[in-house]
Amino acid sequence: MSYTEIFFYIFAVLSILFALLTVTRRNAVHAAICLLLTFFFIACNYVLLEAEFLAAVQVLVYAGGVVGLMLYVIMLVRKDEADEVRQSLGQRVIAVFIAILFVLEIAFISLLAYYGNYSGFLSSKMAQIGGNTESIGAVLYTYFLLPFEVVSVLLLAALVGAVVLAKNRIER
Amino acid sequence: MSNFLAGIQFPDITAIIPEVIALIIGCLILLIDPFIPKQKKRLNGYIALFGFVVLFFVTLSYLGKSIVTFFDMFSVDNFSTSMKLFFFVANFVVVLISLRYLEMEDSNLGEYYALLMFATVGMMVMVSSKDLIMFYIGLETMAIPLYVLAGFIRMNERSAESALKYLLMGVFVSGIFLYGIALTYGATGSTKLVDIVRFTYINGVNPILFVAIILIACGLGLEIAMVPFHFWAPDVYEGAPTSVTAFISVVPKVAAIAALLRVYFEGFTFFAPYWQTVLWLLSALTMIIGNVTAVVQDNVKRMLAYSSVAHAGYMLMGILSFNELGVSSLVYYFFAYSFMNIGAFALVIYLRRKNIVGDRLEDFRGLAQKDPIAALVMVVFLLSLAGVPPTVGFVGKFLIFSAALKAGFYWLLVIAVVTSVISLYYYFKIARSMYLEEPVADEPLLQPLSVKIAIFLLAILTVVFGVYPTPIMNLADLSAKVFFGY
Amino acid sequence: MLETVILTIAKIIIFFAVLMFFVAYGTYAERKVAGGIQDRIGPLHCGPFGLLQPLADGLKLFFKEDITVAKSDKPTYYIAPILAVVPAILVIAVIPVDENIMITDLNIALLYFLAVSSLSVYAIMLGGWAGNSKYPLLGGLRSASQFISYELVLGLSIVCVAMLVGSFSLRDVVLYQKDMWMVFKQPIAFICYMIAAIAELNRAPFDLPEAESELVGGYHTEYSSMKFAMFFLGEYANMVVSSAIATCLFLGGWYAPFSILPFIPGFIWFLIKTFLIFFFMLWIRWTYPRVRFDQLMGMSWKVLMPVVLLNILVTGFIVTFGR
Repeated sequence: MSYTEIFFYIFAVLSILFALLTVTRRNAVHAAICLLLTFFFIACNYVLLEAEFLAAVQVLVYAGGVVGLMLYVIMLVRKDEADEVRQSLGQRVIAVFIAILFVLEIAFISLLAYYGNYSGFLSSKMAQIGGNTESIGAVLYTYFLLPFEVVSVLLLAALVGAVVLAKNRIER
Repeated sequence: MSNFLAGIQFPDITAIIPEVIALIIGCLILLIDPFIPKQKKRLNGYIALFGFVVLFFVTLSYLGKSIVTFFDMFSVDNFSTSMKLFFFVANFVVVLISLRYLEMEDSNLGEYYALLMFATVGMMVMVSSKDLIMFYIGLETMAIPLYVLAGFIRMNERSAESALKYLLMGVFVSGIFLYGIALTYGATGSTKLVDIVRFTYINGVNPILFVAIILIACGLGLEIAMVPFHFWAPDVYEGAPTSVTAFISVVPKVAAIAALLRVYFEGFTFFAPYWQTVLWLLSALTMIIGNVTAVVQDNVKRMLAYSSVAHAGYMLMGILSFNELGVSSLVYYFFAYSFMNIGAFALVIYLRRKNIVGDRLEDFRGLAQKDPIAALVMVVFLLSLAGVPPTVGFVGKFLIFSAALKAGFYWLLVIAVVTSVISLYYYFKIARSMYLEEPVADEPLLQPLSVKIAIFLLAILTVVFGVYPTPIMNLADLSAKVFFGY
Repeated sequence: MLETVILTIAKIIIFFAVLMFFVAYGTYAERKVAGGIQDRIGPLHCGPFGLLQPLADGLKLFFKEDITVAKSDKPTYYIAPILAVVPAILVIAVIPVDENIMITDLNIALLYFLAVSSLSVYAIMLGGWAGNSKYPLLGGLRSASQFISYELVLGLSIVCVAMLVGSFSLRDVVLYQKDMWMVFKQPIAFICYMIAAIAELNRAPFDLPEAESELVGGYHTEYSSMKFAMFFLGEYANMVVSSAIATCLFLGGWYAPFSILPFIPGFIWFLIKTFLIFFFMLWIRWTYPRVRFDQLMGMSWKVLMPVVLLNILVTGFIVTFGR
C-alpha cells in the first residue's frame, strides 16, 4: 500500500466517523463542528484524488461558508431548548432500510464504473490539459455555459427573495 | 488546452432570446421599482403585462423552428415553444388578477412581478432543456421564487407558514431529484438525454436506471403535486396569497409535467414499459386520493388544491399513454386546465374584501343573488373542471381518455371516469351554495375591474375553445410531432 | 524520498520559527508604534529598549491561572483557541519568500489561502459561544457576519489579480510582477484587499467583535492564561500572514523596487515589505476611531462589493481585448 492509499483510508474513516457523529450528537453546535470536520476530511481526500480545485472550493464554500452560517443560526437558538427537541420521528426501521438501499446502490454504481470503464470523460484527461482548475474553467465556460448563466438567474432570484422576506415592511 | 477545446462551436444565441427578454424585463422591474411612488406601484404590473405580451409574440415567431444548441443541452422545438406560449398566456392572466389583489393585501411590491418573471425564466429553461443538469437548474430557478411568493404577505402567519412548508418540502424533494440525476450519471456517464438514450440503446437496460427513473419522477412530483408528494398542496394553497395559489396550481405544475414528459420520452425511451407502470400507479393513486379527499373539504382553496392534485393524475395519463395523441391531448389539457383553474381562483380573489379572504364555502353563499354574472361564470369554470360539455375541460378530458384508450390502459380509464363522477359532487357543492342558499349580509363586493376582465376573458376562452377547439388542437398537434413526427 | 521528507520538515520548522519571531516582535512593534503615535515611549524596562518584553509577556501568560468557566461547553471551549492559531500557520505553507524559498508551490495557492483563512472565523464564533456568556456571544456573532461579508470582498479582490496573472500559484503571481508591481496595475483591488484584510483580522477601526467599550473584551472575555495567549497569537500570526500575502499579491514579493539595490537578497526585500504592510496596519489602528456596525456592513455590501465587481469587469475587458 502506498502512502497515498494509507492517508486516503485514514481520511475516509475519519470523515465517516465525523459524519456519524454529526447525526448522533444531541448538541447542535457539536454536530456543526463535526460536520465541519467531515467536510474538511472529504476535502483532504479530494486532494489525494488530485482534484485540488474541488478540495479548495469544498473547504471555502462548505467548511468556510455554509457551516459558518449554520452555526450563526444555531447560536441564536437557546441552548437548553435546542437540546431538548426530540430529534427522531420513530421511523428507524424505514430509515435504516432506505439507508442500506442507498449504500447498496452507490456500491453497485462504483462497481459498474470500476469494471465497466465508462467513467466521466474528464478524470483521465485532466493532467494533459493542464491542471484541473484550468480545465474546470474551460468546461464551465464552454460546454456548461448555459447552465452556468442560468444559475446566476437562480442566485439573483434567491437574493431578491431573501430581501423581500427579510425587509421590514411596516416602514414602507 | 487547445486540442481539448478544438472544434468547439459557438452556440446559437438566437435560441435563448425569449429567455433573455424575460430576464431583462424582470431586472427592469427591479431597477425602476424604487423610483415609483407607493401609490403608483401598479405600474410594475403593467410592465409585466406588457412584457408577457411582447414575449408571446416573440416566441410565436419561433413556432415551426427546430434548434438544438448549447452542446445538445437546449432545444427549441414546437413542444417547448408551445409550452412557452402557454406560460405567457397563463402568466398574463395571473398578473391581471394580482394587480388589485396585492393592493388589498397591502403587499404591492415590484419584486412580486420580478420574481414571477424569474420563475418564468426557470420554467422556460425547464421545458427547453435536453440535459438533466439543465432540468435541475431550471427547476430550482422556478422553485425559489415560488417559495418567496408563497410567503409574500409576510405579516400574515398563514402565508409565512405556507412558504416555510413549501420550502422544506421543496428542498427535500430536490435532493431526491439530484440523487436520481447522480444515479443516471453514474450508470450512463452523461446527463444529456441524447447520451442516455444512446447508452441504453447500446448497453441495454440497467437496473440502476430503474431507481433513477422513480427518483426523477419523485423530484418533479412535488411541483406536479402528485401522490405521494401532494401533502404540501392544501396547506400551501390555502396560506399563500390567492393570486400566487392560482399561479402555483397551474403554471409550475404544467412546467414540471412537460419536463417529466421530455425526460421520459427522450431520455428513457427504452424504459417505456417500466415507467408506464410506475406512472400508472401514481396516476391512479393521484386521481383517487385527490378526488376523494376533495369531497370532505369546506374551504374552497383547499378543495381546489385537492382538485388540482386530481387533475395532475389526469395529466399523467397523457404521459403514460406514450403516443402522439397523448402528447397533443396533454398540451390541449394544459391550456384548458389553466383557463378553468385560474378562473376559479380568480373568483376567490373577486370575493376578497375587507376581512374576508373569500375562500370559505360560506363566502360563496347566495352569490347568485348578489352578483348573478359572477355566479354564472363560476359555474362555467366548475363545469369545465368537472369535465361537462360544452367546455374546454370536457374536450381535454375526452382527448386524454381516448389517448389512454388507444394505449390500452382500460382499468386506468375506469378509475379516471369514476373519479370524474366523484368530482362532480364537490364542484357542485360550491354551485349549490351559490344558488340555493340565502346570502349572508356582510361587506359589499369590491368588484375590481382588472379581476373582472380576467374572469370574463377566461370564461369566454373556456366556452369558446370548448365549442371550437381547433386553434389549440393545431398547436397541440404540432408539438406532439416533436416526439412522434418522424 | 527520505531526503525530501527531512528537507520539507526543516523548511517547515524554519518558516514556523520566522513566523513566531515576527509574531512575538509584532506585539512589541505594536506597543512601540502605539507609544510613538501617542507621544509615549512604550515598553522600556525588559532588556535594552524593552526588547525582551514579548518574552516577559509570554512567561507571564504562561504562569497565570488557567480558568475554565464552570458552565461552559467544555469541548468547544478547548477547541476554539487552537482553531485561532491553526489557519494562520497553515497558510505559511504557500508563501514564497524568494524565487526558490517556499515550502510548496501549490497551483491553487490563492484558493488555498482563501479556504484556510475562511476557517479562522470558527475560532471567534465558537470561542464566543462556548463561554456561555452574553458579551462574548455578541462578539462572536458580530465577527461571523463581518467575516462572511468581508471574505467576499477579499476573494473578489484576489480574483482581479488572478485574472491578470492567469494562475492561482503565488509564485507565478510574483514572477508576473517582475517589471511592474501589481499595486500599480490594480490599485483598487489593493485598497479593497487591505480594507478587507484589516476587517477580517478584527482590527481597529473594524474591531467590533472585541470592542472593549461595549463588549468588555469581545469573544475572548472568558479566556485566560495560555488559552487567551492562543487567541492573541492567532491574531498576530494572521496579521503577519496576510501582510505576507499582500506583499506577494501587490508589492512584487521578493523583487527589489524598480530594480534598485539588486544585491540585497530577495527574501530580505520580502521581509521588509511584509513589515511595512504590518506597520501600516498598526498605524491605521492607532489613528482611526472605531466605526459603527451598520457602517461596517454597509461599506462592505454597498461600497466595496460594487467597486470590486466593477473592477473585475474592467479587468476582464482589459484581459480580453487589451492583449
